[in-house]
Amino acid sequence: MGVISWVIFLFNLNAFSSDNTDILLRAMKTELDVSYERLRDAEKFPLYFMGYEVWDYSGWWVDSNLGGITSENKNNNRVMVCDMRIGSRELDSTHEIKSDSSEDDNSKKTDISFLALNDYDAIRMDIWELTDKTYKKALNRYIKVLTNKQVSAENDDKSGDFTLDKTTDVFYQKVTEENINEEGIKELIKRMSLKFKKYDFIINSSVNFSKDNVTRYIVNSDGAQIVEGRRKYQLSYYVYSKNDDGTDLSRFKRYDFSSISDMPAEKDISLDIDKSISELKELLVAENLEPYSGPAILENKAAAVFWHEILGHRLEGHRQKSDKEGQTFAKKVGQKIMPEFLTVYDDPNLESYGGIYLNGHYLYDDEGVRSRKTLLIDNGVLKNFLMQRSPLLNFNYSNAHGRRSSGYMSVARQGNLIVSSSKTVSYDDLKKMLLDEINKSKKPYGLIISDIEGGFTITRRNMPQSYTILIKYAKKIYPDGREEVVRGLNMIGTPVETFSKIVATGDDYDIFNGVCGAESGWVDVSAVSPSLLFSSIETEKVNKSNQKPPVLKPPYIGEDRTQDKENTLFN
Amino acid sequence: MKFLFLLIFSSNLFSAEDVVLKAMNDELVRTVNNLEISNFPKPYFIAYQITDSSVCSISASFGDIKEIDDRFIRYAKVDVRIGNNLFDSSNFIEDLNNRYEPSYSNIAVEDNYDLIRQSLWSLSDTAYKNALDSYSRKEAYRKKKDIKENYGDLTVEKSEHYIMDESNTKVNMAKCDSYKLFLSSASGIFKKYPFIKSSDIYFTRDISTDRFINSENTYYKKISTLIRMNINTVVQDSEGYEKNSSKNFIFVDDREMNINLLDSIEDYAKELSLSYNSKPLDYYIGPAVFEDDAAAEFFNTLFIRNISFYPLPETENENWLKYYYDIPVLVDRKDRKVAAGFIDITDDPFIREYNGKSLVGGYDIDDEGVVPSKLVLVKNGILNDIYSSRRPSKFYKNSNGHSRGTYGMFNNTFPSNVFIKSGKTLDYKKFMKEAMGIAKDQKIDKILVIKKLSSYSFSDESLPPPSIAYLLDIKTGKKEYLSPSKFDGISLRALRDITYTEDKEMVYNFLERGPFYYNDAVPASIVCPRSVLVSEVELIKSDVKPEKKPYISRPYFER
Repeated sequence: MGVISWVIFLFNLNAFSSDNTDILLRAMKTELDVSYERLRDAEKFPLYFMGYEVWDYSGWWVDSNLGGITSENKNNNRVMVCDMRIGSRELDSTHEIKSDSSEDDNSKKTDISFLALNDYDAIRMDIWELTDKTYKKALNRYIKVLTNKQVSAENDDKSGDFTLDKTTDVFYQKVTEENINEEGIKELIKRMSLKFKKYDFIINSSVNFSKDNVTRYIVNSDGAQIVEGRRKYQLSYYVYSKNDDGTDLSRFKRYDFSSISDMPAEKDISLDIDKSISELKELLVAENLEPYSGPAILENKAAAVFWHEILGHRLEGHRQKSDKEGQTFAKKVGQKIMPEFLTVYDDPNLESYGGIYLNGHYLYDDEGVRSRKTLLIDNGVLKNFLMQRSPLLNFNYSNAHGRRSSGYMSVARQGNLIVSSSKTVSYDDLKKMLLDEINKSKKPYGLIISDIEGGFTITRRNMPQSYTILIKYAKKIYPDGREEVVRGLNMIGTPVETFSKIVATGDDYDIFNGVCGAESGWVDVSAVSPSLLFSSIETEKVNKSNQKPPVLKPPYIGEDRTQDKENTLFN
Repeated sequence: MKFLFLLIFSSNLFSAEDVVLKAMNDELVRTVNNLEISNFPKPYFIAYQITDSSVCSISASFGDIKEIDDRFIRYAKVDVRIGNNLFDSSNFIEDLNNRYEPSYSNIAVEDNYDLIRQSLWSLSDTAYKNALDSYSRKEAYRKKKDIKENYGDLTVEKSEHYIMDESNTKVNMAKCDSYKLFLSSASGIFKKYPFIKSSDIYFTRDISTDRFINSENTYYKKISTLIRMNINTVVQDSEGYEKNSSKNFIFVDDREMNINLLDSIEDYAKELSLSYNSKPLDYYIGPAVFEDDAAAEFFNTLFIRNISFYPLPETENENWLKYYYDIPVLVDRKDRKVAAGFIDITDDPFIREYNGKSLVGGYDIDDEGVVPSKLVLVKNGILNDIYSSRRPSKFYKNSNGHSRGTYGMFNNTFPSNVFIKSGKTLDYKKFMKEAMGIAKDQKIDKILVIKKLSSYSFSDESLPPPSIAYLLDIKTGKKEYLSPSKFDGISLRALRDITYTEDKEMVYNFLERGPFYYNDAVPASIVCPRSVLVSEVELIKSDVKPEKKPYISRPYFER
């Protein structure tokens, strides 16, 4: 199951050239050379590939609420993972172990090591320890794989475990730290957080700022030596309330940028907050929508998440191979799977789209493969999958989508997923088309879904292979054009059926930047889409808490603070 | 409903001095006066505790720093009770699949009046609703079980007001970075010891301010510093067994981070290194010397933990408690012999130093706002007293001020500074001679010396396995370190089997973990003889299997 939730991150690289004095890189290379040389034939099963990846991280985050700072932290650390492949490209220690209880055996989690920050010898000691541990585990797993292979039914796909392509690039591009006015930023978020204070229906709120610098170091036995840095900032706010029936209601917005000079102006943030508060107030009195089936518009940003969830996860290469997966599209290459006016590609190489930075940008994936554009759907026809260095039948090479966060093995993941349409109309015309669909279907109303929190899609066979999109803000639209805010609904369905219901798109492309969580941890992603008109969608009721809103109003509402007498227990 | 509150809270009381206390007071007043759902009872008792922690954390290894984390955290814990002192919504576990925890949350770090009140408002609301639910479930449970024994749920105590004088409080707010050099040096010591496979130092300096207020007009504010160096090591011994050890150095003043501490770490590294050449043990029966850390760990595990954490919470499924709760088994042996007749044990929260060494378990007021008493726990080997809190038991109608906790756990009875005194002491040479004499009587030529026990863990045995131990040849004086082994059939009887103790005393500062496996720990101290001779223990081979040696020798030592 791939589960995503979204945050918006943007970044920009200010590169400088390679530095031979990089102690970390030197220690990684030295340990790799020594270890690979000595371990490759240390046992009767050969070690045929090994690699290290390090995330060198420094960050600062600060949160505020009601005009005060609620938390602040600075942190820097280095985390390393080690990859080992024992056996051969055809069958190695990473191969899936088949059994009814092999979830742990097939977990993508790996050991990690926190590395020393400055000392060459200390760094090497940490790398050595992790290498030894990883090698022993890989050996142990390979023996299990060999046994399991003898007693299990074979996969349809016999394409082996590791692609033939080699990663030999040498690349060095770090990012520079920007000097930022931390006190100024704290004052800004404190001012913004005060805006929520005067509303008695707001139970909680916060305004947050974070700054992250991450440099990834990758070395492997193919010869790759890659150092790629990124810098990202994020400013966000959150406001929460609760309906009398226990439904949690919230509004949320984030701004992402790679240089502090791109931070939005205070007046723009302020206007957005006002809008969010007004929407929250509308939601408090909104109708709790009964399950619905009928025409709908999924607005652009929400549609971008839809594509990521419903299509993107199902085009990840490793899901086509394991027979525990639904393999929705595994045998549909060359076939039409959606309307011909839609084309979909993933291009992590793109830094921006329409002038807005894309969070899913990277130059090298976590397996050291140079990123490139991959055409996935061409005019409605499935052409390719998102590939890491795990081959599929007829797809023998990675297209640079092997991704992970620290502590996991790489699997195929999305980067910048971009949906383009050759059948676009203006948003106003799309809305008119929605009214036509409502009339045509004789439904009392349609839906316009403007904001979604995220969603999840189940791709495995042991559960219903459906998707759920968590809707945060939507409106009913009646045949006469009237609109009413509704709450308490999720969009649900299965992908093949849902794609066939897309009848038109807007010309209003927009971007959702976020992070996606799945088997290989959390990775930065983007998706781009125009608004989509569906002839029919289905919704269900949301899960809600049983707890009522607070008994008392917030303490700062309506209290006369000039009269201490009123604040005493007994008179 | 009649309230028991006796005094009027003045919101001016704290206004000038402490915004946090003022906010706590004002929100408490509002909650007491107004928090009520129609047709349901109002709370009869409310307490707020806010803990500020300025935490500097640094990890270091092999002479270098790995991570620095310098942060200020503030937690609020709220206790809202429905019912009355004799029967209320507390001390009841509905479902042991979920953690049994109080209402708590991390809250704003800034001394912002409205922010603090907002957090307390939100926590109080949740705690009140939970209390209403717990009250009805507990009532139904008691009816179902026909429980007639009832000692009550909250003792009646006099209100206390305690504000620690900050000007007299020694708090060293040295910058976090300033510890880097010392920690690099400390972790660099292990560069000299190739047999120690890995060594990591985790340093924390936690400066805490605890503020408390309850609806009985008790309040306090206390400040404390705790500095901890935790050294985790792995030695893969000559037989391939991996021996994990963890040693804590805990103190309250960073001036103790000096050359003496480095020497102690060096001594520890030497001992670990010596334990590289180890032999697996098949079976040992005979006298045992618990020495250094092991002596204090022996007393803590067998005695102190067995008179703490009492009384137990009630639960729907009583059988589960034994899997989740470290049940104290000595409490029912009051006025009975629990230790050798020459052993006296006291607990004194008021002492801060012993023979020039700081004690970390002390306090002037406990976490429920009760002034503690010095306790004579054992007199001439007879159990005389146990710890008590505001939860009444068949032994106590009042608290003796030994209730402690952290933000994430309910307060419970804990030790503070425990003093174990022996009336039968010898200098080390004579002490060892006595041990050898017992061995000869039992016709064995080796005696077991245990230097350190493994970190405490739930197990069937009363004592966790030794992590550093050797057999001492009584003829040659040669030490033979042991690969992993474990006690067999050791029981509380070992306390009564103490034969002699060394005349030299030691201070052991440690963190005493709560009764549930997931509980946090509170600082405590033990002053005890440096060596303790137990006439007979049995040790058997551990179930642990040896690991394959590293394929490549360690890079630093390869040169």
